[in-house]
Amino acid sequence: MILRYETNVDDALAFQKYYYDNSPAFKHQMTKYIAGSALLMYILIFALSVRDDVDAGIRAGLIGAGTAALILSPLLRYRLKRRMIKMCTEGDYKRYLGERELEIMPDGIISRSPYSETKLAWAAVEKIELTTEHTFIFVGSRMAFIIPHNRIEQGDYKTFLTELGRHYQPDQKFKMMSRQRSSTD
Amino acid sequence: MILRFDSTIEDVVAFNDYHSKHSPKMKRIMAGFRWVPALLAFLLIFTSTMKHDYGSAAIAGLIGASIAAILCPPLIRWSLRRRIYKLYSKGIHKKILGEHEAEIVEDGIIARASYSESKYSWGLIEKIESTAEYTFIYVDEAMAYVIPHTRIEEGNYKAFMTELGQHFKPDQKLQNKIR
Repeated sequence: MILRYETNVDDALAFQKYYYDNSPAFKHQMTKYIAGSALLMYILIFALSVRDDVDAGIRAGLIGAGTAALILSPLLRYRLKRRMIKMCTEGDYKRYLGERELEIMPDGIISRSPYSETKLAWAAVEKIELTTEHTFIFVGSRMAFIIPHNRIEQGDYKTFLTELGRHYQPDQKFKMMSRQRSSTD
Repeated sequence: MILRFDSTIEDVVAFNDYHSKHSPKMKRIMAGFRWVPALLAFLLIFTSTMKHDYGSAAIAGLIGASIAAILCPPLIRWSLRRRIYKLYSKGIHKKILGEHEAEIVEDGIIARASYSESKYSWGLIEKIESTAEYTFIYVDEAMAYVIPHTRIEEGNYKAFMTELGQHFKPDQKLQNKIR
């Protein structure tokens, strides 16, 4: 069962957004970063304005910390989005974007591009998540095969997804191919 | 030409250390981790001690900034290492480690492990860097296939590297599929 499609920057951004919105690890990291920055901002502003009036120092510190907490999250997301666009448009991103092909095999899933090919045992597929526009087959906490639903050029998406669910076997490993070959020689 | 070796968390940490010390982008980020905390430390100490004497407040600020500039980069590296150990000690990432096999074929290099098999065309390999203990075959700006020299169980490393050099063709796409 083969599915052919093309991925572009929008798909990379959609995955990034999905990851930021749903990953507990990312949310935890963001909370720590924002709390740390807000605390630092509080201490800095308090130290700057405490000389004459302690209450005014506390108030100014709290306002600064609150502003930092409010601004940092969207600012950071904007910067990460910009970095992703830059990486996809300026960098050598041929491994991730462009022509793709996914093939379901009995022992795993193969992802192909003109430059690389990866076969993963079902146990290496962490989870499969769907949005209205994309399917993300997670093969790591921050990595996924991205299927853009409206850019499928060949293959039936619904049949592919059914087959994917049927083959998923969380404990299946590969035997090293060259070893298989030498044992049959 | 095949090389078999065992891959451990140490290899991931070694690549991370190497990359953060040699990649121009990472060097810039690490410089930020040095100078931003230093500037903040200076501002914080200077503003909280300048009530009476600007001169001594500036000296105290400079001392604090120097300490922050010296301590922050190793602290960040330590924190990154800890994160790697945590990430690779469980779940999907743990499965990347263990028995590995690298094979050079006409149109690229095949990397095999218990749970994955990847074929990278020569056109995808950006660069190959070596230290006394490791070879890093970069398949992306920040991702490499790591060969630990001391844990090679089968195959000749020198012959493998010679063959790798002979086959390297930066523009070549894949021709034969994995089955």
